[in-house]
Amino acid sequence: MTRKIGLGFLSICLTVVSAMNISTEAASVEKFYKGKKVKMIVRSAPGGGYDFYARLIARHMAKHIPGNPKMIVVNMPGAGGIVAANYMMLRAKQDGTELAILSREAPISQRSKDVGVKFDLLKLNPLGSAASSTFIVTLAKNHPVKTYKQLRNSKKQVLFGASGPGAGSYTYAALLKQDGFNVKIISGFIGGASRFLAIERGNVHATANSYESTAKAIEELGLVPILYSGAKRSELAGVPHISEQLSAKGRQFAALMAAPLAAGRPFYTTPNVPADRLAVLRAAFKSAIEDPAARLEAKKSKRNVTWTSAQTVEKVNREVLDASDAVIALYKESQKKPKLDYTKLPSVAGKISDVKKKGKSIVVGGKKFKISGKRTKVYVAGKKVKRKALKVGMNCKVMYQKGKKEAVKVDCK
Amino acid sequence: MLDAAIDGLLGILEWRAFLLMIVGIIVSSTLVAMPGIGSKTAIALMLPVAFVLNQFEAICLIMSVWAVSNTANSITSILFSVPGGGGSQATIMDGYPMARKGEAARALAAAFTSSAIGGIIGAIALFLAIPILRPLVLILGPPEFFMLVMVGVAMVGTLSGKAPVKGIIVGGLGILVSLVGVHISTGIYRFTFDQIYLVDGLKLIPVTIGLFAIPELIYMAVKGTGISDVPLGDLTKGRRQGIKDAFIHWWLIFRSSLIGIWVGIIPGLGSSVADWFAYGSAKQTCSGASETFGKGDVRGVIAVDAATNAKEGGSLIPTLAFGIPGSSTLALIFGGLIIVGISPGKNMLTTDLHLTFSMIWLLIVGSVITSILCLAFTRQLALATTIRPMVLIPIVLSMAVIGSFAASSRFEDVIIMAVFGLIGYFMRFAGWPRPPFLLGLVLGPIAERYLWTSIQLFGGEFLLRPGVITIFLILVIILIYPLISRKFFSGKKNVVSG
Repeated sequence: MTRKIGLGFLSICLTVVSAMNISTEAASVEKFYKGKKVKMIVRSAPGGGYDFYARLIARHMAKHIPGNPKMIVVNMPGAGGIVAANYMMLRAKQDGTELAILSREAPISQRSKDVGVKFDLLKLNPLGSAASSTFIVTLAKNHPVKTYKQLRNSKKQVLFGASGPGAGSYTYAALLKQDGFNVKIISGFIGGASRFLAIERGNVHATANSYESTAKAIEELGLVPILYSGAKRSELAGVPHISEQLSAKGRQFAALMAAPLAAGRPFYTTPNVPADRLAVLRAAFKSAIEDPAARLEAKKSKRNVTWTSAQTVEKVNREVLDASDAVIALYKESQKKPKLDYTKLPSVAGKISDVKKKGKSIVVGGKKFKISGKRTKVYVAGKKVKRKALKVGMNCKVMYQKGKKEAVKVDCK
Repeated sequence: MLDAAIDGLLGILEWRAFLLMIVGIIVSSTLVAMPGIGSKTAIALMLPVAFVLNQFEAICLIMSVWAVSNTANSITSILFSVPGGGGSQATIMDGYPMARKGEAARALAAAFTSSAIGGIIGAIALFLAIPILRPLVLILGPPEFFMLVMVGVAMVGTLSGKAPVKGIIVGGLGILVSLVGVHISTGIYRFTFDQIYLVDGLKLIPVTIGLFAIPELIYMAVKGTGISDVPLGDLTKGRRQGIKDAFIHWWLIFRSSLIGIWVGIIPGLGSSVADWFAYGSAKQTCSGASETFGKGDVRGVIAVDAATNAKEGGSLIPTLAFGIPGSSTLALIFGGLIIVGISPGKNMLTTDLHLTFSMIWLLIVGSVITSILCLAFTRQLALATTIRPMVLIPIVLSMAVIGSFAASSRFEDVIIMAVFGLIGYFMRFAGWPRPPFLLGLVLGPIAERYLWTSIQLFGGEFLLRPGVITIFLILVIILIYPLISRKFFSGKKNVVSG
């Protein structure tokens, strides 16, 4: 009996002590943040989605942190967000007073060892993500291709407008191209609106973009969405998922690209933040997103907000960082200017019947070819030579690009 | 259409909206006019306020910060040779020499006045363009834009003064420096040496401040005098003279405004070159300009300020019709205006036409108010040129450092500013023209991008498109015009003397 009472007493004591402990912890966090300034680093310049979410969270998060610190937003653009991530890793104070919104592609940058990456996302502490994203491919209203399946089987080349390597608009088009779709990427169109204009002007036929920025163009220009990747949306009912028409290899690549969309607007703080403060920051981040005032502002700005936990962000990061070398090779390959596949080029074989201007132009099999001193590769008996070595009567195979007069490769015996 | 025009005007004249416009103008003419705080930062800070505003009020508050920032940006350019923002670099060329001659009040007044008139012309152009807005933008594809940029490149020659060869060399160096960084269309890293700072290339603002402001500081320190070494004279008279100057040269203002509008229409070209194009064209077409420009000719100031403010009307053309922002600032503004339910696109020309009109009215009313406000303080501002160098140099130097640092919070930008400061100092005293360097730096990547896209789309045949040929003919005329006019005028002189 005494033992039971003793145990009961002990457990009560323990509860009280632990409760006191929690409250002293809360008090110490409150004491720490009181009168402090918390920096919110943005990975891009003012304007655009990342800046919007950073400022939205900065406006509503402070009141949920005990001690109500002041929040200031600092834009730190550079190298597609790598600058900001490096700053958080190496230079920011590790006491929980510096937060940041980093690129959703940061794990891909880290995994593919982009130039300048000095951060490790597994060491940075995620707070969660403020939104999930959806990517879609849309085609011009009157284009003969209307569905994903038709695109797979299209005999006519479909031109995709894109900004440039590294951007989603480019990578998704490159993914389809790598998987054997008859797709050509036209880069240099920066920003969704300029690509929609290029579609309207008839310069290109299709583009890949986030759903949010395409919604209006779908409505106004009648663009036809044919596939999506990332979070499912009710507006896109009936539109197939990207993996539907992809090969197994293509699916792996698509999964790599889709992973970051689940944590589309990820927030982090620095490594080594004391556990109690980290817990408070994560809770405050969640409360900020669920704050009705924040929701209303986001709704008015036509931005979606969905809370994703820090654990999910961590999971996404791990998933990408654990991606196989083969998939990363696919990704890297897609970002490069494609090399010509000699085996697929049309060719003419026969004797050289005429050589003009010291080899600047030759005739083989009745067809005239220009020979560039720089671009055309000329081989005689397996040895690389200059074009002036080409002589009438040599037996050669000439490879060229369809519709072009210039030879790509001349291989003579 | 008339209804929409009246609705738009009444919308911005409603007392709350009007008051917010004044707030925007004051923020723009004080904070934004200082190097370092760009209109983007100011707008980003104001956006949250828009949640409680109606559409007209939001337009008044947010757009006025942007629409009038050019006017006050000239202040530091003229007084200290430190550009207040990206668009007021060329104001330095003649504005600063005027300040050194003791004519700061005249230069400022001329700048403010022509800025107001330019703003109005830009707004009228936007108004006239409404019916043809979409077709106009649709006929201009990457090939045409490439050729339009080439017209700008043709200006390099005229900006080089009497040393065209030096100008071409400096312009070429500018293009070379612009190649640093990731090539946007191919993702290739060029001259980055695995340095993360170089991945984005060199930024315009630190380079400009370095090239133009630092040499003046060194010069002032060496000489030990203030900016102006002559007595200021009657400031009120100077101000009156400046206003008069603007009206005397109304034709120059009109021409320069058209240049501004043209530059505004090309996405990506935007703010940082309209001033140079206008300056170059003025130098080419004003009589006797080759002698007086760069030494404090008021026409150099007038042309530049008219163009920089007129381009805002032009840049709204692609933005309103297609949602393609002419500049990153406009991207931010329209990102913010979504909050009150304004989104660019076809609707801006149909159901929301009254909102388009309110923006046109804002450009007009805002420009005039800003100029009057700035004119009121011209005398006080002009006194700054008499401050002793011991006091002035640290102030201007800190403006330069903050201005370089603030845009992207990176210390490397300050180093770049210092390096280009030294380069600029030697260029200045060796008589090498500095503006072509900036043109090369800005135009290089834009020209390359449009060329790249054009060739991908059409191959070499893009040069045969009718639009491209038309613009090419204009370019040829620009190039040979000085030769012809020189012959013509020198022939006339011979007749007179003979």
